[in-house]
Parts: sequence; C-alpha cells; structure tokens
Amino acid sequence: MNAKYRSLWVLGGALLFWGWRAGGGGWVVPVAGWLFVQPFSPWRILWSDVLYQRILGVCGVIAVLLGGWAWFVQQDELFVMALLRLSPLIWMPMVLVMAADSRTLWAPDRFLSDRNRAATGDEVVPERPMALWFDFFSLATLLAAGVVLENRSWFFPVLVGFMAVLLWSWCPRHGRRGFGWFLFAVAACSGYLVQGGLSLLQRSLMETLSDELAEWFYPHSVDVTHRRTDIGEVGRLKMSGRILFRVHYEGPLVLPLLLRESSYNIYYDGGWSQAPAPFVTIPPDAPVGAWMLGTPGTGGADSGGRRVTIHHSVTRDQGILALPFQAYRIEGLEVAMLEKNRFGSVRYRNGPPPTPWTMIHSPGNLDPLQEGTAEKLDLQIPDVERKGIDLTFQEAGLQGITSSEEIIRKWNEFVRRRFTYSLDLTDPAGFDSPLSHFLLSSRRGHCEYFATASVLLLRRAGIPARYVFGYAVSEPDRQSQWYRVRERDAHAWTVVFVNGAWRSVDFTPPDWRRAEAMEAPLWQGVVDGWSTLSFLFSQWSQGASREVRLGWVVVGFLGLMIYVYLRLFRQKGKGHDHSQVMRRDKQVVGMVGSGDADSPFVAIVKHLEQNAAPRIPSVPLSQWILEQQHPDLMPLLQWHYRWRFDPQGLDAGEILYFTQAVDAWLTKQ
Amino acid sequence: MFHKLLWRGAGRLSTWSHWFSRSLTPMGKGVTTAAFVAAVFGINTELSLVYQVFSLLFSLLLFSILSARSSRVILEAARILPDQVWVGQPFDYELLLLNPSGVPQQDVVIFEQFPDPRPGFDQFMRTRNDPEERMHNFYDRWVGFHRFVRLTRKNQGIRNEMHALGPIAPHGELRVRLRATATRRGVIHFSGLLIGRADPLGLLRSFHHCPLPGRVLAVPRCHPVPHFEDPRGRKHVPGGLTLAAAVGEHNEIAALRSYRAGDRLHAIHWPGLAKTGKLVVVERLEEFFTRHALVLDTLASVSDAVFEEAVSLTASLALAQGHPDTLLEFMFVGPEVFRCTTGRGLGDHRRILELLASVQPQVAQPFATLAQLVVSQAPRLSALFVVLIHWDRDRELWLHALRAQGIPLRVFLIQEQLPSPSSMALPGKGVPGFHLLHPGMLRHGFKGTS
Repeated sequence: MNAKYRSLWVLGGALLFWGWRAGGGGWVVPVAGWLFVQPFSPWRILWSDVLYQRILGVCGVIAVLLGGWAWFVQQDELFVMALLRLSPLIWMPMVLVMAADSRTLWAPDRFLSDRNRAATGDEVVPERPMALWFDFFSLATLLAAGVVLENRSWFFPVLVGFMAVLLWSWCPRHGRRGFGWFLFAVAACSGYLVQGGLSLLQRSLMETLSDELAEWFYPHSVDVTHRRTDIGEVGRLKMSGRILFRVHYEGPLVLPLLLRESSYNIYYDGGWSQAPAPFVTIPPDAPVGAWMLGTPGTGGADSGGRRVTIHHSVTRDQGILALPFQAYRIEGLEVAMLEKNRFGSVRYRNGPPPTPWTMIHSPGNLDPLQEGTAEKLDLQIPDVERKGIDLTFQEAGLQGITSSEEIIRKWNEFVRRRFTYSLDLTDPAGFDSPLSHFLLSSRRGHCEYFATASVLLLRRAGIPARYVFGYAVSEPDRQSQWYRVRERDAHAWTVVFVNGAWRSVDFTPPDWRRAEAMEAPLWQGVVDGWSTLSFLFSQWSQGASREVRLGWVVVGFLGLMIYVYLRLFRQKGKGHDHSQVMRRDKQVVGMVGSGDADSPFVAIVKHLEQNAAPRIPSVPLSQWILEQQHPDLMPLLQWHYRWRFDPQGLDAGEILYFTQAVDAWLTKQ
Repeated sequence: MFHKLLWRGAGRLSTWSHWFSRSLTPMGKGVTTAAFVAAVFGINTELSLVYQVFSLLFSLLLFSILSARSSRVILEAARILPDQVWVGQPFDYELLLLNPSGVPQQDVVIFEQFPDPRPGFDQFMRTRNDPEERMHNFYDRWVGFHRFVRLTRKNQGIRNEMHALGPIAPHGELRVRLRATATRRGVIHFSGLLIGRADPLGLLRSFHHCPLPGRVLAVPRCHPVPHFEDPRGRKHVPGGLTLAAAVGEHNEIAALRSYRAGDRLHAIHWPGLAKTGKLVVVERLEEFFTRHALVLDTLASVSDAVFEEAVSLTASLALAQGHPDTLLEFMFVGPEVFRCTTGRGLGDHRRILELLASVQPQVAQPFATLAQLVVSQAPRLSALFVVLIHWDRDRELWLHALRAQGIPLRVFLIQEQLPSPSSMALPGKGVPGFHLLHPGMLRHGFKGTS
C-alpha cells in the first residue's frame, strides 16, 4: 500500500484510540473517517503555502483557546497535562488539510512567509515524505492518549501495536527484518518491565523522600502523617499570595475562622508527626456527595448547624480537606473515597473534588473528628527543648497553678506581653535549639513558633496538647461576598485536652494577619481581580441553565469560525507580503489571485492617468506609456509584467528593488 | 570567564545537534522527541500513563543503540573534485565506492565530513561587534548562540546533504554523482566520508568513518554586469608590455637606422657602432594599450553581506571588462598591498578570481594605503573601476583627486540599505558613473542607481 495512505490509516486509528480514551469518541469518528477515505477520494489538491500558513494560524488560535480553557479548569501547573490531553484538537485542522494534499513530500518551511524564508538565508529545509509527518502526528496522538488514566491495562498493548505498525515502514530492508522484529519484541518486553519499575520507583521514592522533595517531584502526593515547619530557618520568610480556595459562611462569622487540615502530637527537630493513626473509610451518605463525618457535637452553647461552602481554585486528585472544628457533615463532595483518622485529618482520593462543596459544623460544640482522649505522647517534651521550656514556664509564673483554664489564660497573657510576631528569622546560634532561642532570647517568630512553644509549654503544665496545621479565613472579597484564603493564610495553632474534650486555642498574636498581608506584592490587586473574575464566571456557568451555556458555546464557536474564515480568505494583515502570496496563489487549485491590483506599478499608472489622458483598456500598457512620453518606464514595465505573468513570481529582494524603483520614479515626478 | 562558558555550552549543544541530525533517522528523531516529551510529562506515574509511552520508546531507542553496531558497513571510497567552483552555484563531483566484502550492501547512506567548523573562542569573541549582530536583540548578542551557528556555517563553507546509495554488489563498485554548494569564498577542505546504515529497528544509524581528504577553491559569485565603454580609448604605455607588468626593460626593436641630428643619445645602438663604425640608432616600438584598473576597497568594517557583494561585483567586473587586448590591473589592500596585472598574455582572469577567493576586510589599515597606490598608477590608466564598501570624506576627496587627473571613473558603492530617493545625503548624488547598490541587488541584474 502507498506509505502515505498507510500512515493516514494508522493516524486515523490512533485518533480513534485517543477519542475513546479521552471521551471524545463520537466526534473523532468523522475526522478518522476523512483520513480513512483518502485513498479512495477522487480529489487531489495542491494546497498553497499560504493556506498552510493560515491553517497554522488557526491551530495557534485553537492552542491559545484550549490553553486558556485548560488553565481555567485546572488553575495550577498541571494545566499543561490537560493541554497535552487535548493537543490533537490543536493540530487536527493541519492533519485534515495535509491528508487531502496531493504532495508526497512536505517540509515545514511551508509555514514560513516569503519574508521569513528570505531571512533564513540559503538554509534549505529538506522535504520529507508526507507519510513521515503523519506518523509523527500518530506519535503525538499516542502521547495525548497516555494522559488519560482510565483503562490502564489496555494502554500498553495497544501502544505496542501502534508502534509496531509505525516502525514497519521505516525499518531498513537489508535482509534482517526477522532480527528487527525480534528486537522489537525484546524492546516491548523491556518497556513493559521499565514502566512497572518506574511505577515502583515512584512509590518507594514517595516513601523515602522528604515531604518537600516529594511534593516538588510529585505535587499530588500527600503525606498527612508528617509536617516540616520553618522553625530554625534564617532570613525573611517568603509567603505566597496565591488564592487556594474561597469560603462562604452562612450566618455571622467571628473572624478568623480556623480550618484544620490535620493535627500532630510528636515534635522532633523542627517537624511535627502524627503517632500511627490508620485512616478509616467514611461511608457515603445520601444524597450522592454527602458524607457523615460524625455525630453533631453536643455540650456547647450553640448546637445549630452552620453551612460553610468551599470553592477550590486548585483541585488535585487526592488531598486533605480543610475543615472547621465541629464539622460533622459534608455535602456536594462527589469523590470516590473519603477517609479520616483520629487526628482530625479527612482525606479524599481518586479524583479531584468538584467545586464548590459544602460542610456543616456546629460552632461551640465538641469536635466529632478529634477523636479519643489524650495519650502519653500528648504530654511528651523533647529533651533538647526541656531547658527552654522550664525557664519560660517559671518566668510566665505558671508554677503552682492547677486550673487548666487559668494556665491557658496566663500563658496567653504572657505571650501577648512579651512576644511579637515577625517573619524575620534570626540565627539561633548559642542556644540548644531554635525554639529555645525563640523562648529565651529573640521572642520573635511566626505562628509555627507560637504554636509549637505553646504545645510544649502546656504539656509542661500537664495539659495534653497538639499542634494543628490549617488555614485562617479572614479576608473578605467584596466583589464576590466570599472569603479568600491564600497560601500565606496557612496557619498553625494548638488544641488542648481540657475537661475531657479537645479544644482549639490560638496563641499567635492577632496582628500576624496584618504582618503577612503587608508581604503582598504590588501587582496583587491585578492577580486578585483576574481570580475574582474567573471565580464569578465559574459561579455563573454553574448557575446558568444548560440552554444559556449552550448558547454561549454556539456564540464562541461561531466567533471562531468567523475568525477562521477571515484568516483563511480575507487576511490582509500588516507586515504580510500579500503580493508574494498572490503570486503563489495563482498556482493553486481553489485559490484565486487578485490580478495586478497589488503591483507597485499600479501607482505609476494611476499617477499618469491623473496627470494625463486615461488609458483605454484595449490599448496595451507599453503602447500607452510610450504615448505618454515615458520611455524611461519601460524597464519598470518589464518588472510589472514579471510580477503579473512570471509563474515563479518575484522574490523578496526583487520586490524590494521594484518597489523602491517605483517610489523613486514617483518621487521624481 | 562567563563568555567562555557560553562558548563551551554552544559547542556542546552544536555537537549534540550534529549527532542528533546525523545519527538518528527521521523516525528516530520522532521517537526520541516523543520519548523526551513523555519523560517530562510522565514523571508522575500516578498522574497519567505517559510514563508507559516513555518506557516503550526508551526501550526501543536503547535496543536500537545496542544493535546499531551490527549494522555498520565498511566501504572503500575515492573522491574526484573540481579545482574551482563558484560560490552559491551547486557543483557536481564524483565518488567511487567499492564494496570489499563478499555480501551485498544496501540501505547505505553517506555524509561528507569536513574539518571541525565550530569557531574558536577568539573568533567567537572577535565577531561580537560584527555588523550582522546589530539585527539581534541584546540578550541574543550577549549569549551569542546565533553567532556561533552563523560562524560554524561560515567556517564550513559548504552545504551538502545526506546521500542514500543504491545496492552495491559483493566486491562491486558504485560510481555516485554528488552535488554540493559552496557557501563562502576560499579553500574548502573535505576531511572524510561517513558511511552509515540504520539499525534493524530503523531508528539509529551506525557509521564507519573513511578518511578521504580533499580540497576545492570556491571563487566569488559572479553576476552579469554590462561592459562599460572606455571613453578615452587606448593610452600610450612607454616601455611597452614589459613595463606594463612593471618589471624589466623595454626591448621591442622596430628597426635600425643611421643617426640623424637630434636623435637621443639613449637611442644609439652601441654594438652597431662597434661593428660598422657608424652611428646607428635603434627605433623602438611604442605601444598603446587599453589599461583598466579595478580597485577593491577592503578597508572598512562592514557586514558580510556588503563585503561579499563587493567582492562579487569585483569578480563580475573583472570578467566583464576583461579583453585579451586589455590590461586589467587589480588592486586591493590585504595584509599587504596587492597589485596584479592580467591581459595581453600576462595571465587570465582566473588569477584575479583566485585572489578574490581569499580577500578579507582589513580594518587595521588606513584608507590612505590604497589611495596612494591608485594615485601613483593613475597617469598610466585608461579607466578606473572602484568598488567601495564605505563612504566617507577620505574616499570622496580621493575620488575628486582622481577625477581631477582626468581619469574616467566608474564607482560602485555597496551600502547595507539604500537611502530613500529623496534623501539629501545620497552619496555621490549627481556624480556621473556613480552606482549605488545594496546587497542582493546584483543577482537580479545590474541596476545600480546612479
């Protein structure tokens, strides 16, 4: 079979495979059908370079639109994965055009305008068989199909099958094809082992690498059992202003609202860990997307439920939910699996949560998630911190006080009086630990210092305490009536076991939010404005009816089609050598040139017609010019004739010379 | 220090690029690129299945590399090159390949190899302020990768593509006609031949290097230029042809006759007096030549395009104005002052072309060096053709001085950009015989504005 048609069929198959995996199977079928029928098509078209240049422009527009859409949906660095998944849509117009082209050889310099081609000098881009380009498109399609996680077991065998067909045409025929196939089989087996090995390697790396490194390499991995702090870091702490999610609170809200991700009970060398605490699956509740985290807490003054709605800017396939204390029910969270452990961590897996989702909590009541009573580890103080804790304990005058509430109140007063919030971290040289330096010397630090020191000091007083990581909601967005939660709103505080229950206490001086807000860059307003706009659009699109949304899609599609039409057939953009374009168009089936309308010589004709007798159409231009007593124009007329009738047209240098000569003549007149 | 790092980086990148373009087959390039993309996007195996694409492509490439050596093919070769070629004109040459083995060879490709064309650090730094650099932005100029590529291409000076061979029978030979194009003037060296064949998977080529040195002289690109008629015709050259070449004494004796009162003492034929005892006078032949001078201005820092256009125009003029009965004196300043006379049996224009093949701009020498040389020769000249690459007060005064001596002048000034026709600063405006050209115009026919 003709190599080009074989490649077209492979590409058609690859597109169907991609469509099936990416969920766009239905409308990929006509495209694949177009490729399949090419061998039987009666039409053979020799597309012009201009058409290719314009189609490239169309592909660029589609790429920008898809990129914007992927960013809008994903809102993090993984939008490139979404874009890769959709990439066949970008170059599909190019494939459709190339498939109908009668050429058998093709080079990408067809995308260059004559001006750009002249700029590349004498370099010649070699032409390659058209079949090769289709095979490259097939490879790209297979890559895009690989972005989809579903049907994992099918993917590798199908991939091997496609690669076998792709390599068939290009492997040499010097009598060793059998050996080639043997090699291919070995390589396929090796590839299978390598992919299994890579998967295992990642798993083991995630277990052994530090959190930061694992998060950098594998941004979706979540290790809830351990959290490193910035205790001990030196210099100014940099905080990002990126908006992570937005919160809507039903009813009056006392700021800040603390949303917990997890609590920890073991401190060692600047890091907090959880004692072993297996996750247990939370059974789904009715309706779909509802989960009961526990029974509504009792014992508080207020037993009514308040609804807190979360709208994520960033969604991930797995992660930890930030929940307010006393949250007991979640609604609208359609994820495959939800798990919790006794430290109050709630983890979702296998797919990003739809956004927004809602939780219900009962402020003032007991927390249903922070389960169990205090344990021995909740009173443990590392030896290296003991000296600093003891000295501070005495200085705060906590010795001899037996009431837990009194100890908490007195320690809180001492902190407000003697400590200040700061993001500038100094060198703890000369002290047993950075925390001792904070307690005994600098007395300046950020929330992690305050929370850690408080936990250990309360433990010294005999009160079981844990370190909590989460977010503080305090920044209202007046445009959307929601609260913004940024990365720099990440916060650490303390839970204490008092009167038989875990209660939340924040010892960080309240001015910490103002100090961190001052870190915002100058362009924060612009970024926030864009974020708010996309948030409002997202809210509108979720609230709008199906018909309205469909209407907008149709409007957008029509707009794109109008642009494509203008780009293909009406373009006369600045800086575009349209005249050269026309020279080429004349050779092209289906493209119509515009005659001599673009020749610089027309300006001379107009000039002569204005200043002398108009030309009768039946009189040849050469005769008319001689009649006008302008024999000096004859050389320029020759150029004009070349412009009009030379099938090779004029190249960039000739056009430049011609144009300048015409200008010079007109200037002289 | 940092520039050295950039230069080394560019060199390394160039090596990889060279390897990538030669060692990988077109499909191999596609597979390697796809594997690279898959490695980037598939780093998280829990996020997508792209890592499976990477695994398969990586394995295919690995086994290609392992098996490539088994595909190596060894041939013996000989190359027949022309002596001289024209820059920019494709030229053909022959390659004779012999299969010394007892098995037929097919799917063989060959690449010509040239001495390492990558610029040295000195050249890389020296060309930082070349006029070509002005069209690039600050960052590009600072990094200089485009300059590295430009200099590499310039140093190599020849463009030739991979050539796929037909099958060669056991112990058989194959005569192949190859085509290449010289892209710069001067001597172009060939160092060897790379004979390669793809591995059984068709992704990677394995090469056998066959040392095969060769050289070819690329002479400047020539274009048709009109023959400019000399308005003053021939001119008396005292001393005849020998003195025309500026060496020896004149010796063209027309006749001997008896002394007449008033004859010059120098004209007395002393051997005749000794033999006959009478005063005998020698009548010598007075020669009249058309003697043209062709002057190339090399004394300015200009872009390659301008200089090459000037050299090309000079070569074209040498060919167009040359005539067997015309003496053509070619003058330019290289590392030293060059003057070469051709015509009337003193050599043909190939000599001028050979000189032009290696002429380079001389920034260090003052223009006065060339001006004095030409002025000293001016009285003997019938006409003077001057190709200038720069316009300044010195050149203007020099041309005025020559014109004042009554020498017909044809001046060709090559400039990067033509000034607009209305510009008042048009060099040589209104001067007859003054032609203003810019790079690229010559190849469309001589249409210099004058």
